[in-house]
This record gives sequence, C-alpha cells and structure tokens, in this order.
Amino acid sequence: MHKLLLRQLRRHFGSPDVPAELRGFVDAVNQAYEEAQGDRVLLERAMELTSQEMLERYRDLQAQVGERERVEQALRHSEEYFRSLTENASDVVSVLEADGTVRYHSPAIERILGYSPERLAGTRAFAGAHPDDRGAVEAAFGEVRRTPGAVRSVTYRNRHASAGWRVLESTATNLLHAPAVAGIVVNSRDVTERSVAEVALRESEIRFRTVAESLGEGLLITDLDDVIQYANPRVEEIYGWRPEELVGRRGLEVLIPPEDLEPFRERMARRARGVAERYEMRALRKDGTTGWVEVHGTPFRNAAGDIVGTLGAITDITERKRVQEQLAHGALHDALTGLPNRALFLNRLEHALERIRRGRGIPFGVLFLDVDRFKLVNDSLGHGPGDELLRQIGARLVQALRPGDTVSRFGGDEFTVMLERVATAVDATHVAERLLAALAVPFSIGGREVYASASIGIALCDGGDAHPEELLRNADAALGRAKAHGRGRCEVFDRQMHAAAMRRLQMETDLRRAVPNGELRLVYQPVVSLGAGGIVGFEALARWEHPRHGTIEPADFIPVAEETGLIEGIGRWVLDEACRVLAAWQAAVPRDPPLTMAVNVSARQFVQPDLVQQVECSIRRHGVPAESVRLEITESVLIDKPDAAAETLVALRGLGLKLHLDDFGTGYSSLAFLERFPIDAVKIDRSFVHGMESEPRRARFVAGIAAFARSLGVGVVAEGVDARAQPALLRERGCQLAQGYLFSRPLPPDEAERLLLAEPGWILD
Amino acid sequence: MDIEQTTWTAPGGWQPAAGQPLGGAAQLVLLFGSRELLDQAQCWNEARGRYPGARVVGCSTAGEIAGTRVLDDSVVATAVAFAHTQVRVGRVSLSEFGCSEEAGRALARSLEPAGLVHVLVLSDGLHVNGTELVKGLSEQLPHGVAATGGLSGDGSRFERTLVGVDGDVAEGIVVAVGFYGPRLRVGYGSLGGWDPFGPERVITRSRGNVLFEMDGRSALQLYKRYLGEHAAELPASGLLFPLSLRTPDGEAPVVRTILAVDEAEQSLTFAGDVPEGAIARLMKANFERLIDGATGAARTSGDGIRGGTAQLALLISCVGRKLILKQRTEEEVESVRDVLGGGPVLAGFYSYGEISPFSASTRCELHNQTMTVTTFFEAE
Repeated sequence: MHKLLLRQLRRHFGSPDVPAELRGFVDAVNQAYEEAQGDRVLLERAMELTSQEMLERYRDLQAQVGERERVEQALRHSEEYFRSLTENASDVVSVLEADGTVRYHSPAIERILGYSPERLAGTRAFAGAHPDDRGAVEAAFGEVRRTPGAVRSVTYRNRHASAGWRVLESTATNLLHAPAVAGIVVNSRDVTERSVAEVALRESEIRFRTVAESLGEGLLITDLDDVIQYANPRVEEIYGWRPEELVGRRGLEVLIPPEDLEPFRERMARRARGVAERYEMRALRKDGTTGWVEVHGTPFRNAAGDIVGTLGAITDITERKRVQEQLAHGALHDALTGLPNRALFLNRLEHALERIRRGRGIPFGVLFLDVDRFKLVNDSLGHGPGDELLRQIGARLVQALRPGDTVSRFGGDEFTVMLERVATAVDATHVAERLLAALAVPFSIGGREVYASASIGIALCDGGDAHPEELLRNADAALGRAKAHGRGRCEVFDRQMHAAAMRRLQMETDLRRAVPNGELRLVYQPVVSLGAGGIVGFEALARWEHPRHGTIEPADFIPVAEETGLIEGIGRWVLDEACRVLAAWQAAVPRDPPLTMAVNVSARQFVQPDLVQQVECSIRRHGVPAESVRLEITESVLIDKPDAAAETLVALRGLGLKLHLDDFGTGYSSLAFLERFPIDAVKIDRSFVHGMESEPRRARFVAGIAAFARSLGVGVVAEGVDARAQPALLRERGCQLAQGYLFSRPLPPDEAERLLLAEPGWILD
Repeated sequence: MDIEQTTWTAPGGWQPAAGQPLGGAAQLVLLFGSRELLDQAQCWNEARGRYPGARVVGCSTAGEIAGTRVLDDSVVATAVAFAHTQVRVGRVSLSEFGCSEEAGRALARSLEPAGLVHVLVLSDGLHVNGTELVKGLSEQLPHGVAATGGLSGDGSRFERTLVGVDGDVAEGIVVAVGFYGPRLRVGYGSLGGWDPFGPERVITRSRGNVLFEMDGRSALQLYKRYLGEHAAELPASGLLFPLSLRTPDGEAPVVRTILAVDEAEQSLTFAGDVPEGAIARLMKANFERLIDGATGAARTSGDGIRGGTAQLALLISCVGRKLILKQRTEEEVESVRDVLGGGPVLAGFYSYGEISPFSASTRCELHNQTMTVTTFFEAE
C-alpha cells in the first residue's frame, strides 16, 4: 500500500485495516496514488531530459556567440589601432579617387599645409602644387592610376594656407583594385627643411664621390668601432666585396685574416690617437683567399675636428709581393720539387762547416743520390711523368728524413742530403738504406705504377778543414762506385776513392792547359768501301799527349771535358782542325764524290746553341763541301731532348752535312730513332763485328740492322773490322763501308796522308 | 543526558511526547512554535515555570518537529538536563549593527571561548543576511568549533519571525547557545536533494540578497511565469523553485531560497547573497530526492559523534521542502529516524534557512532548502 495512504488511514481510522465495505474503495484510492506517482515520475523524467538538451544547445549557442564576439572584438581593435596610427602619424595619409579627387586626408595635413582635412575633402588633390612642379606630379599620379599596384614617389612644392610653399615628398600607391580601399593612397611628408640642407649636402657628396670613385686606390672610411661607412668601387677589385656589401660591416671581421687581427687592433688604436701611417698588410678577400695591400691610414675627423674613424687608402700589392717572394724563394729553391737548390745546399753546407770550424758544430754527413736509369723513365713515359717522379722522390726523401736534415735537388735526377748529427759511416749508411727503402715502394704516376731505385754516395765530415765542393766530390765519387757495383745501393767514400778523385781533379787541371798548350792532336782512321776496297774518307779521333802520362784516349778524358765544360773548346778545335785537314787532302787527291771526314760530337757539344754556326763557319773557312763532312752522334744525344735534337739535326742537314749514329747496337738501339731523326747512316759497334765470322748470332744481328737500315734508306758503316773474313760477310749482309785495324789503325796526319796518296786497294774476298 | 519533550496544541493543551519530567534539573529548553503562539508570553512563562533552572530559547517556525510528527500551530518544548555539560546563551539584536556580518561577529564574541564545544544559532528569518551572519560568526569562533541552527519562520506567510530567550521575544534577534564540556560530542550533516534544470542565466542586476534581473529580464516575472496560478502565493510558492548559484570562478554551487517579494521595485529577496555576474539556474525537487537528502544528512550527522549513539537529534528543515512534500512531509523525518534508530529524541522545526557545515570537514555555511541534522551525545 502507498506509504501516504497508509499514514492517512492510520491518522483517520487509527489503523490501516479498514472495514470490509470500504476495502474496495481504499484499493481504488491506492491505485490512483500509485498511478499519479507513475505519471509524475514519467513527466519529471521528460522534463529533466528536455532541460538537459536545452542546456546543451544553449551552451553551443553561447560558444558560437562568444567566438563571434571575439572575432568582432579583434576586428574592432584592429580597426581602432590602424585608425589611431593614421590619425596620429606625423605624415599625411590621403586617399584619392581615381580622378584625383580627395576622399580623405589624415589630420596631419592641417599641421603641414594649414588646411583642415574637411576643407580639402572633395577638392582636386594637386591643385595646390607649384606650377613648375604640377606637370611632374600629375604625370606621376597618371602613371600610378594606370597600373594596379603601381607605386611612385615625387617631391614637389605645395602652397601653404597662410603663405609660401612647403616641399612635400609624396608616395602614391594604386589600391583601386583593393576592395577595402578602392582608391589611390598617398603618403606625404614635409621635407622643406631637409631639402634645403640636402641640396648643399648633395653637391658636397657628389664632389666627394667623383673624387673617391675615380681614385686608382681603394678607399675605406670606418668609424672608431671599425664599422665601414664608405667604400669606393676600387675596393671591390681588391677584396671582392661590393661597396654596398661592406658598408655596415666591421673591417676586422671581413677584410683581415684572423691571425693578423692583433697588429691591426694596435694600428686602430694608434689611429684613434691621431697617428697616420703607411704599412703593408695581408688582405682577406671575399672568396677566402688572401692577398697583400699597402695601406695609407689617416685619422678621419668630423666637422668639429674630433677623430671619428679612419680613412684608409689601399693599394693592391699582391702581385708585387708575389714576385718578390718568388724571386727570394726561386733563387734558392728548385722550381720542380720546391726543395732547396744547389746554391742553398752549398750555402747550408758552408754554414755547417763554419760551425765546426768555430768548434760549435757536430759532425755531419753528405749524401749524393742519383736516380737509376732516370733517362729511361723520361724516354718511355715522357717528360711530364718524369718530372712528377722527381717531385714524388723529393717528397719521399723529405718524409724519410729528420726535420733538421736538408734535402736538395742538385740538378737533373740528382739529390743531395745533409745529415745533421751523423758521426759514423754506420749511422749514415742506416739513413741511406732507409732512403733506398723509401724509394723502393712503387710510385703512382698518372695512374700507373712506376718503380724507381737510386744509388747513394756518402761522405762524412769530421773536421772543419773540408770545403763544400770537396765533400760533394767525395760523395759523388762514392756514388760512382755504388753505380759501378750495380746500382740501387750506397757506398761510403774512402781513401782509395779519394785517390781516384784526386787523380780526376788533377786531370781536370791538366786538361785546362791542354788546349792552349797544343797537347791535343787528331789521328785519322780510314773508312774503306767494301765494294771497291779503296779509301773513301777518314774518321778524325782526338788524342791527348799528356806531358807526364803520355797519350790518353778520348774515353778517359772526354767525360772529364764534358763535366767541366772544356768539351766546348775542344770540340770546336776538333771540328775546325778536321775540316782544315780534309780541305788539304781533297786538294791533294781530288775525287768525285770528294773524300769524306767524320767528326765526333759529344752530347754536351751537341746541345751548344751555336753548334750549327760553328760547323758552318769551319766548312766555309776551309772551303770543304758540306756533303763531305759527317757528324757522328750517339743515341744519348737524341734521348735527352728529342725535339730540340731533331731541330738541330734538321738544321745541320740543311747545311748539306751527313749525320751518322755512332755505337749503334750498344745503347737503346731504338729503331724508332732512325725513322724519327734525319740520320744518314748508322755505325755498327765494334762489339758486334768482332768475332762475327765465328759467331752466327752476331752476324745475324748485323744483317738485321743492315736490312732494316737499308729499308729506311739509311746507310751502314761497320766499325772494328779486324779479321780477313769480315769484309766479305759484311758486304754480303748489305754493309757498304767499314773501318778497323784490318785496314789501318788511326794514323797521325802525315802518315794518313801518305796512305791516301798511295791509293791502296784492299782485296776483300 | 536526560530529555523531556512536550507538545502544546489548541485542542489538547500540553501533552508529553518523550522522556520523563525533568523539572529543575533541566539546563536548556528549546521552544519551537507557530509565530502566533510564540508571540504570547504564556507559553514562555509556562516553560520557565516548569523548568526553573533552565535557559529557555526558541523561535517561530513554519512547522514544528516532535519525534516523527510534523505539527502546525503548535509549540514543542524540548528540555535537556546534561550530566557534565554547561550551557551559555548569547543574544544580539540585528538593528544594533551595520550588517549581519558584524552581528555574527558580536554574537560569537558574547560566548566564552574556553571549553566551547558547539554553538546552536537561532536567527530572525526575514531581517537577516544569513550568509553574512554565518561568515561573521565563523570568523570569531575558536578553531574547530562549528555552529549549526536555522532561521526562524512564519509559516508560509513571510511576515514576522520571532526569536526569544527566557520570554524576551522579538523580531530582529539572533540567539546563540554555547555548549561547554569535554564529554559532549556533536555531529552534523546537511543535504538538499534539489536538482538544477533549464537554462543558465546570468544575474545582471542585484543588490546584496535582492535580485532584480537575470539575462537583462525581470526575475520576478520569470518566477511568475513558472508558477502560473501559484504566483498568487508568492513568496512562499517561490520556494518551489530555489536558485542554484555558481560564481564564474568555479566554486561549488550554493542554493538560494526566496524570502520576500517586492512588487513595487519588481524584486525578489533571497536568504543569501545573489551577486551580479553569478550564474543561476532554477531548481526543482521531488519526493524521492528530498527523502534521499534527509537520509544523507542524518547519516553524516550520525558519523560525527564518533561511535556514540545520538541522544538528541535537532532537525532543521527548510519550509520549501514542506511545500513540496505537503502531506508526505513526515516521511523525511521518518527517514531520519530510520537512520538514527529509536534512541534519540527528535526535535526541530521548518525554517527559512539552515546553518551548518555540509559535513565535519567543511566550512559552516548558510543553506537553503536542506534538511540539517545535528546530533548530540554526552559520554558518561
């Protein structure tokens, strides 16, 4: 039963138990209570939900309204902000219609021109412009009006309300297409005061710029903080920075190498104290490279006379410096390897010896290093790679030595080393072997592996009485022995070598006297025709009649003559003497073709620039036909500088001379030489001719050379014919001429002449 | 603690309701009655005559509670004889102070703080800003001492409310009873059972506890629209729709109930502040939710006496609840009895505002539309 009904029954009847006749009624009332409660609960539930839904929608709406209010607020604020800016700006902001009618002037117009904005609204914008300026103003406005977005500035005079003219600087912007404006916006500023001062300033400025920009020197003006205020165009050529890039930057940040900053700061301080000075300094360019400049720095003062910065006149002296430095370096260094050259090496050697003489020095060693068979490298790979090899060898030597040691490129493929603090031959040998080991590793030249070895001669200095040249000569002597013993090794100079070296020195001294003393003479060996068996000519050979040592062969003294340069004088004498004798013999025994004379030309002689003239001179002087003179050269002459050699050979041939290649078969025997150079004949070396009658290999070799030569149109002369069987063999194998002891040994001129006059005929079968 | 409860009604005169006669042993008599009855010296004199050693404090009501019965046009006298506890009474007249907050402070100061355990407050129901009164009171009471009580009522007429001490009864009076003694344990709880509904409205014009406009519209017109024909019964019918108020800074919402209507200035007067900018929603309640509220309040108050069994329970419930519950009003009192059991004597009244912390751990506040239960237990 419903709780309320229960209580009501208790209150009114004293008990819920009602009389039976009322029970149906009470049940109906109870049902009505329960139904009413059910209805109420349902209704309250509906109301609760409706209320919730309504609240949710209300909150959504509030959020939307709030957002819109925020946006509108921001818009209002923004509008207020810009209006305030415009209204309070000291410049005038105006909006004009497309036809030039004023729609709006900001309040500043009144301060500048004396008219209220309201009074000018609706009038023509430029009606107050000075008659002389109106054309320019209207033209600028017209341009702006025609192009959407166009901006033009114009300065003009405009009438002031009370009296006189004000100068306005106006910038017009076409915003006709911008819906928010749909007009032309003009910003105007009163520049009356400024423009008067400006004219004077501009003239002064123009004068300054004209001078500054025409200067040959760079001009920099900096303030006391080193901030660049001005740079003329010349500065760009020096530093690579455009003047406008430099202005505003600090000079010490962009133009000075960091390591030079300290001295520069000191100079700045001096400038601030009023000191002017001229100095050289390094310059940092925009691309990071450095150069040299000479600066004439002067304190820069303002109108009041206070120092406000520095004026620097700058001259680029990079080239001058470079040349100076190159000269200083080049005189003492080898251009190819960058190592000290012979002069510097000798100088250091001298200093080291001097220290020892003064008792402060320490024993040291000298190494003389020669690259084995360097010519072969040059010949097979070319000069570029040859040079590269020398560079790399130089680098390896430096790397393998201690910092105190001196390596120099002494010349050609020769290097010298001065070893500090090396007391014994063992120590020096260790170093030398280390160097040889370093060179034993293959080199990479132009992408290919190249093997090189060297020979080293070692000389030690233990006392100060030696001379630099003597030490080097000793090392060279040891080097000679190293090479003689098979290359790729080192030798230490000893007494025996000393004796040999002394002998050689003596020979050098004697040889100098030989030419003036008439100790040189020529002997002549006949050249025989293997066809007719008679003499066709002679080969002139030099002999030195030494006063004490008797006759000396060319093989013993020509190398010394070559080294000392005496060969030039000797060579000239030989050529001239041979031509003189030939002329006499041709006169005594006239023939057609005339008698020939072969003269040897050494390598050093061959590269003399006036060789061709010498030859021509001797031929002319003695009146011998050029075609009767043969010059004999060796292959080595052609290997060293092939292009120059070819040129010389062509010039000699141009005189009409014949050219013979001597000692053929012993050296490179490059058949290519025969094709490349204008050679008339090859002389087959005696080592192939000797014994050829019993050695078929030698005979075949001779035959091969002859066949090849013949195919190229080159003649063949056999040397050293000393057996009766040989002439026939040689002739059969295509050899036309021969000389040798079988026919005659080399003879003094009178004996040779007698033999010639006797007209011998050798039976050659 | 011994208690004697008697009721007076016109047909039956004084009738015993609970306990044994205490006579001179009683220290405190709580006298709750209709305004007309309490306005006469007779009932005060009879009470003082029966309990010569007691302080008699009381107030007019909108319904008296005796046991599980809810009476109208009656007087309920509840006499208490404590074994170990002393009682002191303070009294202020609101007209002597500039504002209710100052009155509250003065009232608190009138009680000796040493040994004070709890304060029972009975206030005028129409001339007071209950919020301020409680604020001033709480500020001055010693830490850990709570105040509970209520605003006196005047049936559903909202015309005059009376508070008296020892026969000195008048409008505009606030009385505080201070309980002293370590053996007394007091528990309290307060719950509403009302639910906000409908849209949120911003209070756009108000002055203290007087409300003029919400969302720029007349608040009085809004109430009339909701009440329909019941609008004629304003301000009492306004209690059907109390306001839930929350401030924009997000404090817990409070409930405000209508005390008066002013047709001339189109305003509504509430039992507490209705500040401008606060967000208000109308509230509604139904039978079930109100009963739940009373149950919850009883449970919380029972927890407060820490294991003791309540001997006296003081129930102060809002007149607004009575308007909703109508014939079923007694059911909320029964629900309190169901929670507390048969032990305690139940006494109390229907008020124009309740004073209590929500629970032991919260601040003392003025409430509207709640059932407030204060339980007393004196250890032997």
